[in-house]
Amino acid sequence: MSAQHIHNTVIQEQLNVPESSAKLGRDLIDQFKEPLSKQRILSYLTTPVLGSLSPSDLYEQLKKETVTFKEHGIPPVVRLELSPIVEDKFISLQKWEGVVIEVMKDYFLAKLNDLTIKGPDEEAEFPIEEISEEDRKLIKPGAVFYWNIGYHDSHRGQRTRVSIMRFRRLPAWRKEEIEASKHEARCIKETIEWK
Amino acid sequence: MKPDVSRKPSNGSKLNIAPESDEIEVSVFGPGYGESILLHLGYNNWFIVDSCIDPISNEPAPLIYLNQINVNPSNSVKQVIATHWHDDHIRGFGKLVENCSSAEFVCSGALKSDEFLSLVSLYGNRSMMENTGVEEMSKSITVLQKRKRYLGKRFVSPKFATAGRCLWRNSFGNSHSQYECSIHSLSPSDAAILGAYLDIDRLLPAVKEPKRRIMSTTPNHAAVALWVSIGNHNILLGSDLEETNESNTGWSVIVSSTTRPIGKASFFKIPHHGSCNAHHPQVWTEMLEEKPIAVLTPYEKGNHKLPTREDVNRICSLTDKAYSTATIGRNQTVKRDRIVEKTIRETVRNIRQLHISMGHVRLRTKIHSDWRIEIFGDALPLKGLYVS
Repeated sequence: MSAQHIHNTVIQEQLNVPESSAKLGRDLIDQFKEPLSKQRILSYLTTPVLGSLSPSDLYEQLKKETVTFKEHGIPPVVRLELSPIVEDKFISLQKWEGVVIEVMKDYFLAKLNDLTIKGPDEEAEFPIEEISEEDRKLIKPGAVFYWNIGYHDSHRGQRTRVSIMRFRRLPAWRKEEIEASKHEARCIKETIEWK
Repeated sequence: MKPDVSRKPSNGSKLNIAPESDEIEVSVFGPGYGESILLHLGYNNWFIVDSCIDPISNEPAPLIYLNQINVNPSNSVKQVIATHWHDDHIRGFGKLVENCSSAEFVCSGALKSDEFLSLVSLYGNRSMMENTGVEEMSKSITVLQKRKRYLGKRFVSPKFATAGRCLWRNSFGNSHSQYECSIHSLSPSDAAILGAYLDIDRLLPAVKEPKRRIMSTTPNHAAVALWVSIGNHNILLGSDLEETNESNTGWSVIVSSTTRPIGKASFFKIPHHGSCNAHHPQVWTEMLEEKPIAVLTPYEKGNHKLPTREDVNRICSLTDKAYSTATIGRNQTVKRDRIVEKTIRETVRNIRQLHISMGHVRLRTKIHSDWRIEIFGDALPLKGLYVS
């Protein structure tokens, strides 16, 4: 068995390819088993028509067309100039938590608890127009809101003095909580004889 | 004989002297929002009715006073009585119950319902702000539960005040003279209790309702009016009981009651801050001596002030010995940074500091003697309330 036959067999077995594909591989190998001529190699390296340049001219031509990689294998480093991201910010000077006591036609009365420095309770009347449209439906006795006074600094550097009032979106009572309170009521009644 | 009235400086040079053992004392505290009454019925038997907070120390006013006169609340206070659960009558009550560790807890019979306990359980720990009436009751109940675990069978269960009930009775004195002491509750009536049960039931939240803060209900049907008898002296404490013009609630049912204690009172704690809706003429003619000593605690909420000028005129026409524990209408604001104050002025219509005025009216006497009146802090004669 010839070396060529063994070689072809190995290719076929390794690649597990059908006979016709194996034949294609053999044909390719046969086609290129002869060394390439110098002229053919040169044609891969440079664009001018083969045979038109002298060896020295060919050398110069090759040198011109050659691209050298100084740091071969290392990906290029790209440096981008970025400006820092500036966000809007709010500086609080005074904050209260408020509870609505009474609602009148165009204003509401609220009790205020100072959250900035613990101090005496206060009471204030707020015009309803000071409240955002979406919060107005929340203005009811017992409703809780936060009132914040401070400075708003925009990302462009503009400073504005602001007074922000925001009503708390209160969670809803769940059935389990109400049932639990009834159970606790019964326990209290029995424990301390609240009857 | 005209009672002796003396005004002491606000630091109270004679404030810190405890009553003598056979001396009766009634002290009314009022900071302009809330009230509390301290009774000494003789021989170190103290009783506290309602609670309010001293604005400077932020502690219950009766505890501060007892400390000033060297009375130990843990063994001297016999009962702590919450006449109702509105914010202005119960601030600091939980702390009172805790400190008066041997005192019996008394509250309105209208709070005996399971619904009220459910309310306390739901809202008792919810507040994001300072104390509310429900939270104070929750704190009080927590203290009672701990006390029960500690004392076991020695625990004294809460007492519920209803019309015609004797809350406390004892006799004092020595071998030469003895006198009877008693405390009776004149309200709430059965009809008022039923009304209060319905009110409380309406306050209970439904599923999916937002968890808003609970607000006290009006009118004050469930408030406890008290009649205190010590020897020949009677005291009527009106709490916040309002007149409903119905025969089975309010002051009408008390005046017409055939089971209330007999006699007339020489001291009257005017109900509901002197408002006209708590006034009943027959109380003055049938339950009070002529021109009794009368004390009220004022109240302010927004533009609503009690007593009004008309109320002051009405009360001063009935007695010349009327006092207020605090001033009214002082629009004091908290001092803040200039920029903040400017923004506040641009935002709100009006802002004022609460609870800035604190006063104390004290009455002392002995059996068969006249009352001696002393006023401390911002307390003043009622006729001067709207003068300045």
